[in-house]
Amino acid sequence: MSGAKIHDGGGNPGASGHRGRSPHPTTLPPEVAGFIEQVIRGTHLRKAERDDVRAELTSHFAEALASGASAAAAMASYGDPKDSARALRAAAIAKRSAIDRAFGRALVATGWTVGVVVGAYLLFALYLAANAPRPSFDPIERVAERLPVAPSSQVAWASYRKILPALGLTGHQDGANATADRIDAGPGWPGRKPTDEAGATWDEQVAWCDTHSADLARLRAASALPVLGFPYATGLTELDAALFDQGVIEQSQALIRDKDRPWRAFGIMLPHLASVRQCARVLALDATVAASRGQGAAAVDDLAAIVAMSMQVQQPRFLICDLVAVAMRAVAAQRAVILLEAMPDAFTDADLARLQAVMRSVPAELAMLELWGERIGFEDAVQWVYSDDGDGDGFFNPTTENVSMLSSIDAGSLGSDNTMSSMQSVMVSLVRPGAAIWMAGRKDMMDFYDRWCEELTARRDWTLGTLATAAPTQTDAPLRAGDAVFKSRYLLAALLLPAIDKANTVLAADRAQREAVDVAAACVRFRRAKGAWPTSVAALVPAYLPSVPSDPWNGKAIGMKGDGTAFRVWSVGEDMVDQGGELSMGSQSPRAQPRFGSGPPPACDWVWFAPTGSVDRWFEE
Amino acid sequence: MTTIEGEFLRGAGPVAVLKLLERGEMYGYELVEALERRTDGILAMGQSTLYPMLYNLEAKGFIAARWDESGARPRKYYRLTANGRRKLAADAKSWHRLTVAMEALGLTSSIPGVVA
Repeated sequence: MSGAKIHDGGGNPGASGHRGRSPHPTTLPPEVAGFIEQVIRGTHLRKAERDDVRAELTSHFAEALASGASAAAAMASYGDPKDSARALRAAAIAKRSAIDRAFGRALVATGWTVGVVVGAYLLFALYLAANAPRPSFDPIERVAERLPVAPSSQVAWASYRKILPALGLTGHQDGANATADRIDAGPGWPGRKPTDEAGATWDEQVAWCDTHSADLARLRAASALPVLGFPYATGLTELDAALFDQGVIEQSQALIRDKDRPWRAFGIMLPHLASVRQCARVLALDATVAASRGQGAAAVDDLAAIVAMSMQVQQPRFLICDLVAVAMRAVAAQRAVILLEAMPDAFTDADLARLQAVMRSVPAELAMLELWGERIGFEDAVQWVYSDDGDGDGFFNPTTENVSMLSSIDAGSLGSDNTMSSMQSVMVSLVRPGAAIWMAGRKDMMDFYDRWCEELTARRDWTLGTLATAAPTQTDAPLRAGDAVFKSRYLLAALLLPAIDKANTVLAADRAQREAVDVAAACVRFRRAKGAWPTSVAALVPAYLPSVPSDPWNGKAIGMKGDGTAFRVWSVGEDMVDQGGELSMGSQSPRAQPRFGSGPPPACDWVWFAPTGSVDRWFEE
Repeated sequence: MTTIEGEFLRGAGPVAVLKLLERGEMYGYELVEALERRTDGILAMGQSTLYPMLYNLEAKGFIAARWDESGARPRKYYRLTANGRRKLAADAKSWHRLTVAMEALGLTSSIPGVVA
């Protein structure tokens, strides 16, 4: 019989009292040595404990064999190796110290817990991988559904795409706009020097308007059409090539064509806005030229065209379109007041009445918050970063590509190339289940968005003063308070919603600015009829105003005082303090536009109308 | 072996080992043989059962162990500790009362060697 030497490896001093001395090697038949090893392996004990058991069993079988038993008989007498291993394990563990056993139990429990958690995590990761976001709607089609339609003769864009290039107001980046830009940068007022060194002189501006009078007339005519018709849903074509670079046209077409492209709502191109906005400034210039020649009706035509174009721009109601429209109306309103202060005689009573009508022509709906366009964008973002359980709910489960998109929004560079490295992609995959558990679910996120929009929309008719002093909306409050946990759970909303926050204020300022023109025109008409300025706003009602206007900042009656050149109409302004319409209070900016910044508001009134004979206050920086 | 016998043996095994060690230290295989020989095979428990039992008794402090390598084969000797002697005394009393009770019921006759 060949033999195998069994070493006990040192034993377990603390457990056996063996104190580290190893029994010398004992030779056993290989089948017995294998039997012992089978038992030892089955114990799953620590090495020192296994060594101790091995030494014990080696001794046992050595004695059995020495007593004359055969190897087979000795193994049979010993019993089942698996049962023995289990019993030995339990007994060996019982020999451990109480702390050791508790630690061992904790370790096992922790192991199981970690195992279960990791297993569940991996299963969840598989579930998420199998349930990647599946977009269910086309945001561009949804936008198109809300766009007004009209016969081609009633669509302005067909005209604008020809008129704007003729005026040099294109989106080309090749210097084609140089002349128009220079005209736009001119002084904008007789006798004033250009504020920009590159700006045209007043005479050059007048000449430009005269040269382009036919184009400006076509522009005014197109502005009167009911439908803008910018090809949001069909994309720019070669017909727009005179207006936009080829690259812009191709991008526009690609967006329409590539329906699988993520976040298409955010990719909707609005290249016309810059040109249209410049139209407002050119028309304001033309109005000034007309008024300076005593042609008030033509000036009102220009101002009416600006307001009409601004309403076209609000098709559709994307927030950015609203902001551009408001900016255009601000150009018209400010220019109107300047003209009424400096050149009132250019306007007949009928011109003034029409100017009032123009300012009132903006429907209340267009001057108040409307977020359906923004909701399409948000819902589009949600459908790309959330899985869909078919019941309106789902987990935050963005693909790597969409995580890049979120990163670009967070970095303030939407749409920029934020391609992730392979390592980052792996990290995203590992983190995704955790994020899915932590982040607000799809339904929760949409509810949050809708709740916030509802709260903001409920403030759509608030005055500037009310908005300025209002607390954050209930939904928005945690984000405003800098609640990092909340922000991380509602990441998508936190990234996308701040842009909406000040929209109510901008629109309230729009309403107030047009009302300022209305009041100013009413005052001029009153004075012309009565030979003196009105002594109160109430005197203007009902002949010149439908109702007494209230101050948009404090809700009280609008300020009015004086006579002759000292006549003033004013609002208390952002500081909410009535300085009596004083023009020498430092900043006399006629702009009602709140600053959206920190620090105290300027200590001055917002003077709506001050026929001082000087236009300096309008042109001061 | 019936179930009831098995239960008795499970309870009797540790006491029997302690009793055997009362006279002096013994190594594992020696205990196996002694149990079989001195109880006419009644308490000849499976050998694989003995070692876990020894570990348990050691863990409870009733017995202690040492390796002896002076002979032809290394042996691990077990001896009774003071705690083990107290435990043996207490268990012996319990067994005695049980035996008396069983005897009163006519189920057993006196078992020499099991005394209080």
